[in-house]
Amino acid sequence: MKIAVASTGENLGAQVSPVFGRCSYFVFVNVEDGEIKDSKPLENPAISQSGGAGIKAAEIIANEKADIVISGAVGPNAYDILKQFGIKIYKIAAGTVEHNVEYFLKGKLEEIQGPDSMKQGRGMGRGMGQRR
Amino acid sequence: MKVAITGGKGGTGKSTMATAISIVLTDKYKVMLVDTDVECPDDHIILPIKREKIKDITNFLPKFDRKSCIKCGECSGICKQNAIVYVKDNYPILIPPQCNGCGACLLTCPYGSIHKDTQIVGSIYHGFLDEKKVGKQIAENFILISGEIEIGCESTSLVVNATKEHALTFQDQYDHIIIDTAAGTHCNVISALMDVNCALAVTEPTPLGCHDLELILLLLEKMGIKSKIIINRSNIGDSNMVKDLSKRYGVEILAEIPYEKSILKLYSQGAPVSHSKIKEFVENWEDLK
Repeated sequence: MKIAVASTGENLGAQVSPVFGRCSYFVFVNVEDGEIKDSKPLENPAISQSGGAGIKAAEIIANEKADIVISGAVGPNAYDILKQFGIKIYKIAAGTVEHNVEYFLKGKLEEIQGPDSMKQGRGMGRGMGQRR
Repeated sequence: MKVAITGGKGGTGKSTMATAISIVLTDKYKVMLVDTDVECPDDHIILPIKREKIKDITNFLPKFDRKSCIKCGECSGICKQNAIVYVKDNYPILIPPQCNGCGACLLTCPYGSIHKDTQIVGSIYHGFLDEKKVGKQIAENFILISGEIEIGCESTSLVVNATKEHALTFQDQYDHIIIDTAAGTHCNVISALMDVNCALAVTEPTPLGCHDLELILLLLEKMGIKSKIIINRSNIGDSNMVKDLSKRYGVEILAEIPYEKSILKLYSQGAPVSHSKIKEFVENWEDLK
């Protein structure tokens, strides 16, 4: 099983990120027989996208063939894409990437059943700074 | 003559001013008010207006032909809007609200698997004043052209351009055109400001009002558009901040409208706002040319 965790850093000891589309890294954690086998970080290229960062991030995760995503709120577009590829989303708890994977394995994380109500996630793309 | 009502900051009274000026002008002239704040048009709410939808605005949307698509993903790679999702060995997935209709995917697809389709991005409305509330002459001298974007769509400047283009097809029938722009200085405001004879920047004498006023003055200077400042709620905050900007950019202050209960009363009744200070400068409207 491959778990993608939205993270602020590259390794298992890094703190998780509450944002999905514009998190700094995704840490992909391989789990076998209920134990962490290895992990691989991927710098999130979507962080600098002007728009649709959540979409891009979901595309990356689907391409990596992850089974599970652990993240904060996920926007509707990203949610739909992850759902189409049968990827389940679980809500992060405070702590590190490793903690969150362990919480998940113990069944302590809550599955996110729908997209966050905010239309566009937390992005500040498309010149939002100049809007009212 | 086309005059734009703009100002940078939101909530300074652009629409209130645009509607009030239009109503004063209808006394002598035929007036077309164009509401280009397509994300939240409200001129028809401020004035007693009934809107009728005239037409939808459509834009290009790619349509994938799965028979010839080889799942190469080039369409997704070229899309700067992230509107096309590509996951290895899968057909591309389109996210329509992200698409701005640029057509890059259509040109890029090496197998001609993308066809032209359209999506509705907004609508154009005509609005007429309630004769019983404003009187026959004013109602007859006035038309509102209002553009409204489809919920979830982001191609605002496209809707602004389509609304303006539609309005200008019968501009000959009107003496004065008032263009009410959105807040900000982004592309849909720029589209609304194109080709106007003069722009009136409505601001309030607050630090934020002045900050955004400076941005719009810089934009207007860059676009080579003659501009003047209207200070709304002139008796709150510190008008000297606006006066400093006026001097620095050499842009005259056309009027100072105070914050008065009588104005708020009319506004809350859904009646056109009227004030002696507004009538005063509209008297010399032709001078703005």
